[in-house]
Amino acid sequence: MDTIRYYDIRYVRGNSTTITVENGDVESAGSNFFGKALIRVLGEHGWGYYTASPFDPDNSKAKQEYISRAARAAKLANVSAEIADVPYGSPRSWSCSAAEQAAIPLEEKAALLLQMEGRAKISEVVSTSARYAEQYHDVWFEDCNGYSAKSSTCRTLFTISAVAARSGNMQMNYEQEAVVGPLNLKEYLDCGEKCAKRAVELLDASAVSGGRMPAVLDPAIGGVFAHEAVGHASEGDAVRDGVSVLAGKLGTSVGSPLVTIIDDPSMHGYGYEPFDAEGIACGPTELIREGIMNAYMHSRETLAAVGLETGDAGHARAEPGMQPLVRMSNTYIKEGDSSYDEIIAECKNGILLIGSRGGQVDPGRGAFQFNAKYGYKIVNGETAGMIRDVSLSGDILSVLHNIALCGNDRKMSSGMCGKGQSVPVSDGAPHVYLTEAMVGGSGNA
Amino acid sequence: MHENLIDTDVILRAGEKLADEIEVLVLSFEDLSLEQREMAVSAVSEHAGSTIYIRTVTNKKIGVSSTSDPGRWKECLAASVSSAKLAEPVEGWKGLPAPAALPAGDDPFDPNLSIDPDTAAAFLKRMNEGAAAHADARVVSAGVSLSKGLSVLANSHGIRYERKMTGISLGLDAIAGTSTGYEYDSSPFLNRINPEKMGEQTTFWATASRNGVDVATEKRGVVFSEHVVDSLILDLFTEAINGRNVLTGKSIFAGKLGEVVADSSLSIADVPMDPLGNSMRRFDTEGTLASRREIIAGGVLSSYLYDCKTAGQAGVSSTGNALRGAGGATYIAPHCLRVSGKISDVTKEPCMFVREVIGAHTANPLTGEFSVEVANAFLMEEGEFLQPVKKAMIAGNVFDILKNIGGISAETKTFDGAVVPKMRVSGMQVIG
Repeated sequence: MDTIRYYDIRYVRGNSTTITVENGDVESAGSNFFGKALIRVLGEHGWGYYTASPFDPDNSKAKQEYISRAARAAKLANVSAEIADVPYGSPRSWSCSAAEQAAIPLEEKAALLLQMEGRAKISEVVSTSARYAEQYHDVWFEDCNGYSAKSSTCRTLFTISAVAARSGNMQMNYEQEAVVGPLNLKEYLDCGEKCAKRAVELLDASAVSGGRMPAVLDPAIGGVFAHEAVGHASEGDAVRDGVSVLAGKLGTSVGSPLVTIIDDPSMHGYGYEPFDAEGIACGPTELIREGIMNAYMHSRETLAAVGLETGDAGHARAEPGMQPLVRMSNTYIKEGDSSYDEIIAECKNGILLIGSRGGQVDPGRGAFQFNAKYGYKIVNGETAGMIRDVSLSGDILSVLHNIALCGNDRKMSSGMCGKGQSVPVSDGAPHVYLTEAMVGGSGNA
Repeated sequence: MHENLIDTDVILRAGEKLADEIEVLVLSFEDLSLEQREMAVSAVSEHAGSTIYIRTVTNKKIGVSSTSDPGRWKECLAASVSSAKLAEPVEGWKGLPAPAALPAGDDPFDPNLSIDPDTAAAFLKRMNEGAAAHADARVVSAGVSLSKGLSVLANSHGIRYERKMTGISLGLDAIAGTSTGYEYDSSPFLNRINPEKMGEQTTFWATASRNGVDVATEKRGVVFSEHVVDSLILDLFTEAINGRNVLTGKSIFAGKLGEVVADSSLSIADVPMDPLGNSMRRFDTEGTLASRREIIAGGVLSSYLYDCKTAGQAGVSSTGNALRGAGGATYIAPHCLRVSGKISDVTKEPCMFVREVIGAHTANPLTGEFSVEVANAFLMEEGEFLQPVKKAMIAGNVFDILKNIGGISAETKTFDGAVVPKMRVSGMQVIG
């Protein structure tokens, strides 16, 4: 008989529908139906996983067979793994099953998307496109202790993009909104014009000259900083494996006293999960509190490995049918008390970075990079010319210490995070002033 | 594998009653993965399943749907028919492909690959043995994935094509102090994977990158590794030659057929049956025959890539470059890009060698502008690493780089969509 110290089953069944419109036409509309279960067994030493698709949660005979298969796989694992005994918690219940969203005819959603895209057709815009998607997930979780949990979640999003062209110069911009729960496209029709105007403005923007300089991050790119530079380095697996510059720093100063960074799966943001991929409901975890490294994000396994006092379980997430990984959910820099005008004035001469085109981090080296959608020069305490294709890179610990002001205007943005698997997240920040940052741009002549 | 449980004829017959044309693509697979931590196996995963992609065409309107739950194929078919009602008719639609004589050639399939834990464990062991060459570095994690698959494509015009696939994916990462290194490789064939060399290279990058020096902000000669050429340059190039982006005004190459877009020494072709490639294809995922295509010849842009839909809209024939994305819709991509040009000893003259960049995906896909952080970068001369670079960014424009190639290396590395050389670029903006 194979040793089974623990097992759980996470079955996700659902469907997603996507509509894409391009230059005034419905380019495609399609649906995807899925149903996958991950059966996870902790054997004598380590983990065995079996992914079943299709899966019938009422077929107990099949379940036993899958558990046996995962147990056989676990026999090959030879690294000792333990799981911490933690409370399952009480899920924060947001209204997010969104039956009303599903009830709206697809034709109506497509018509609204076309309306939004139509408003992006302004002078000098040569191409427009928009995408709408809604995804429904029903999750069944059960483990060998008799615990079970169920959830139904809807995620809804749109993205609109516009390309502007003038005399061989082309620039693009996109705007998006992604929420947990219903999203009424009628309320966002103006996003088309807003998106297009920014693309046209970018035709007159200049490339920035790279180098070290003071910088102000807007809430979107400040959020990416929180996610990329601090969040990933605070994940329990990176800490356990010794590949995070924040490992071993609990209780020590890792940044300016102005900096508090939180990850909160229970928050009503795009990264919301009623309970994580191990069935655990979790609230806010203060990763950094007033500049001091305070806690790491954990799965049950990394909590046991790193130490029960080092943070919170409840941060394991997974794509359907895939194994739980320690991940962020909704991550943000807590707001301070400075106004936007005070921050720009304090910066004096530097750069304002706005919006995010994504980022990446090497947590072991402590290096990160992310790219802004655009920005402005700051000259004599005021914003001046618009700039494009500007990025920021740096050393995590140095930049955290360089934060000199935090605004009072935090906003959250939604997106996807890729760490082997792709999961929905949100991140945010107030405007943040860095006394020195490494800015990349091709404008150096 | 589940393919035998899914009768494509049943789905075709059901779909023919509801649509003018129907296509069913079934991808069945089994895979096994081993993860390593603390130099031993920490987890073992097994997975097997099928995905069904259904496309229907009615009055030149295309509907798509997919499912990973074979029991839900009727829902999937209904959704495909329903979604076609929303779509616009495709101007110039010539219909789904009809059967044709497939070109000779093998599938990316190795009959000697066994999907079992012992085979996977042997790969891990060999990577670890290679990694021991640089003892100052610690292997953090490693992984092996073995897979076997079969795709069956059938349509209402009588096509029924099969393609077999195997896959070996290996990866490991290491750290020495705060200096990191990683290596990743994949191939359908056992004899093309060198686990010992991967292990040795991973710990080499981690140890050699320690104690880096600062560099000045200036323009200098840079040599991009095969990784960077693939992830930064060829990724954006692929977007620019995508027929759909050309049609919708999202390609910098739109309207430039016959124009000089690259250095006259540079040619880039798509070679589906390239013997060094990873994904040989005799037909694409909608049944169009795949064949060699020159995209840039002597610096001149000579072709874009199309699937059936965009080819109809452009008034040309499909180039056989349809692949299949999530949800079932096709997307356009090359099968195996081959770069040829002036081969030279690219690291002989002084340069900064960039093995990896952080943030390649943040480059501007429309204009080609990028500014990214370098990783595992070195000052080099006469082919020798002089000093590691502590920290730097590089910034520029991918499409300008194509016009400013200072030579490519004879040696290449194979990625899933390309066989790639190193590339030298002069006057690259470095920000120190």
